[in-house]
Amino acid sequence: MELFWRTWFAAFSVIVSVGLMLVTLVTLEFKLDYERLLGERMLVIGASAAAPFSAAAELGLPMKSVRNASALLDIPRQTDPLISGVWVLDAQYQVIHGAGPWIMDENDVKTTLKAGDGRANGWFTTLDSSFVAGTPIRNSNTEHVGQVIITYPLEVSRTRVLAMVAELSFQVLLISVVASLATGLLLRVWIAREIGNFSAVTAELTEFERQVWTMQPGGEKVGQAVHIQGLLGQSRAVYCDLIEEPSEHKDVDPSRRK
Amino acid sequence: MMMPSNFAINREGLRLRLVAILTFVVIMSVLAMSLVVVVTFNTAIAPELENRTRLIGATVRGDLQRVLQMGIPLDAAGGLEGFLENAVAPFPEVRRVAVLTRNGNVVAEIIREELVSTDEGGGLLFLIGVGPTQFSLPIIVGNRLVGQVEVEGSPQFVRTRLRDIFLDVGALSVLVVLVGIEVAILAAAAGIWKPYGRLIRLLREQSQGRFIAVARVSGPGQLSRAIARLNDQVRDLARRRIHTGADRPRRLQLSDVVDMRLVLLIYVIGAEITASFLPLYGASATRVGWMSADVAAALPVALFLVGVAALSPFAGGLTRRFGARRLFVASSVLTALALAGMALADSIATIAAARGIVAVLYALATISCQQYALEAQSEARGLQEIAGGSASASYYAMIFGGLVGGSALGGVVSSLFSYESAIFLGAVLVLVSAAIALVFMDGAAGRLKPPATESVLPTRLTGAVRLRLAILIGFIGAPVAATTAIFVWYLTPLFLSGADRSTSEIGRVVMLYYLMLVVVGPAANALFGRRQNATLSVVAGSILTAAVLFFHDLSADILGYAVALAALGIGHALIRAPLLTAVIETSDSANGPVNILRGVERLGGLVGLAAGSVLLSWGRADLALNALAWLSLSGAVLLGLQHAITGTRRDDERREE
Repeated sequence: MELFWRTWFAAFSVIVSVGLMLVTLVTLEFKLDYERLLGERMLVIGASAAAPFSAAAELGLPMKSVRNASALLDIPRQTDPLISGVWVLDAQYQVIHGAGPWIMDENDVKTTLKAGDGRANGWFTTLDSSFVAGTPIRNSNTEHVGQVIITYPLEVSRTRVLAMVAELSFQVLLISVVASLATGLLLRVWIAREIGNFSAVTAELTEFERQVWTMQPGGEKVGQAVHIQGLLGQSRAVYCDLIEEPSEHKDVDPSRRK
Repeated sequence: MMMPSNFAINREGLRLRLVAILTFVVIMSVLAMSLVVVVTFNTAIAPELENRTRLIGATVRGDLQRVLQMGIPLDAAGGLEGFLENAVAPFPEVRRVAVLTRNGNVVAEIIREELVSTDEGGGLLFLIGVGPTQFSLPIIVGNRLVGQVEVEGSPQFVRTRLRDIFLDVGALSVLVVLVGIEVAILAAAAGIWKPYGRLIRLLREQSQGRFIAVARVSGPGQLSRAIARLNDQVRDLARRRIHTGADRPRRLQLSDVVDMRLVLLIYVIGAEITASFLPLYGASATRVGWMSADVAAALPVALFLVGVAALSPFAGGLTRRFGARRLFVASSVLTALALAGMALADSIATIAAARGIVAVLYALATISCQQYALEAQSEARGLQEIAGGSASASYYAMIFGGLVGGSALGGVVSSLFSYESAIFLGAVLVLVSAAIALVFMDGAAGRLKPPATESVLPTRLTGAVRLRLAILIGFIGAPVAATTAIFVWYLTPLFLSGADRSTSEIGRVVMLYYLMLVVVGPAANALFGRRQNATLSVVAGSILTAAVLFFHDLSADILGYAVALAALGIGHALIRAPLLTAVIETSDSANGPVNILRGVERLGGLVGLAAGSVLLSWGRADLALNALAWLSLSGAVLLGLQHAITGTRRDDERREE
């Protein structure tokens, strides 16, 4: 059975590895897809929120002059209550209007904002514990005069990913267990001959040990195992002869012993 | 008296049964897991998809309501289609958006036909509960319902997203099965049949009166007890200074071909992890002004070939001088360092230099494994024992299996993370192979050997034999190597990358070529192993290769490349192993002409790559393929003619006798 357990364990490892790979790849893909979908949605919401400010900028008015900006920036939060904050920033990354708590590290934000300046249709990324999306505001000369920043709590994304991983892992584990049992069954049938051969060998080894301890002569057996038992007996006989007649550098001729 | 050293286990048979069982179970598991993945992924992503669909509806409705509040009737609003198109543009998963009047008449509608037509084939998705998302939002003006906006999302979004994952999992499953089978065989060997082999060897020696060696005590209870008993007998006699004449008996170390299989497989996976993206990695690195991107892409591959070609003739001698295990471990550690250097490099010169070093070490490591296997095989044959498989077949199986695995793993990891991450992973794998070698390649075959006394070159070759060898080596071996280098390694990644295919997709296509070699190769070798059939196989393979090269269009889509590479893989599988058999049997030696074949193969690859790179920079890569096609065809015709003439002459001679 040693042969069976070793091959079965290797087969089990293969199945579990395949399952692990699948779960890992699906999780990575899900995380990427989810963040991309969320980011694209935030950009659309951002574009909608940026419209009144772009209109002001196109007329050459300062964005600070937009009246009722706080109410305008609350509209996106009505489309998705999980949105944690909406801000309007000028070209120097200074907050002009805002709704919601500003929870990000200033230096990190500035680096990200600078990196996002070149993106014509906006950008999104994860920053600290938030998901951040930026939509540009342009004037009539299509010059970048500011941007609308929307933040979304990262816990939402993490919770969804973890929930999916937990559910998927459980189901994949179940399938792996069933597949491993099936593999065990197939192996038991397909390597039955090898298992039988090896069991015969170990049985003969046990029998030899028993004969040595009980000082009984070996019985007649059939098959390859009896050959092993014969060799064991012969080896022991030679050894016993040698220790009974000790001499330095004694040369042994097994044929004399027959 | 012939001793049974291994109880009745047919290891090749056991390996085949394991392959069959694992392949079947893994395929069934992956299918079952795939269904689970689709449902779970869809359930998890559905809320976000619904949010997006709802957002489109709300945006369209909001804009329409503003227009309608000015008193314009809904069915009089012009240019609604353009407006709807702009609204759904950022949402590729939406297959239909429509504006309807209160009576249900469609005012404007956008349907993405490509999504609708693919949805028709999604019967299974609907069966497992993955259906389209649908929303209907009322348009209200002054407390009066004037119409509605309908939005439908396609369930194909999930399927499209998961298609790549399933393909990646399929590719990596091949890798896991390859490694898993070798692990299973090695575990069985290390735990059962090697201890059993040691027991039998001790018994054989002791029953003939030689109490000079002890063996490591391992294996299941009864086996280890028997080995311990025999060891005790030897130690007792040594203590009494009877017969052995020494206090310390020697340690019995058995070698087996199996010892090096997993080691070589993991090493090749690690060293070849760059196979699917090396030209792209080279092209993306900084380079000197005079160097074109095409030359930069070819340089690391070319230096790899130079390195392998330069070291191959000396690797056998070095293995004998330093010992297979020591040489392999040293080469592996240095390979890992060179790979790490390649990952950290940012210039093409450093990348190419690192790849060149990897090539030299690759030649040393792989040939030391081959030498170990050959020694283990001859040791087993010398003692009339059963070897753990054919040394050459094992060597080629692990090399190509490793290439398949490395190519798949490199493609997936570089696509998901980065080229550098993939190369670092390769370095780690190479170190793992060194650790396995330290533990398992501990047989006598891994120790130092006296220098070979056999002459490197055969003593006499007749004119006909020389001609046949020239055809086999120059017109068959060289084009095979050149085709692999230029078409598989160089042009395929470049052209597919140019068609905006991801490295993961390119990896899968390149893997098809090697998969064919792994699958068709052993079958071809078993069927056409003998000389007469070997010629037939080589001729057929050359004709198939020529046909692929003649008819392949470099601007083909990914499917065209997949078909071409699969066909080329079959062609080369028909050639490689039978070619080696033909060269050995024709020259009656496993040394000189075989070494020349290896050298010409490397050189052929190198020259082909250089020529291909130059032709590509002139915009005429097709010329390289045509030249290779003609060379392959000439080889097939010449070998066929030579075989027919020699066969006729042999028949005449037989008749005269």
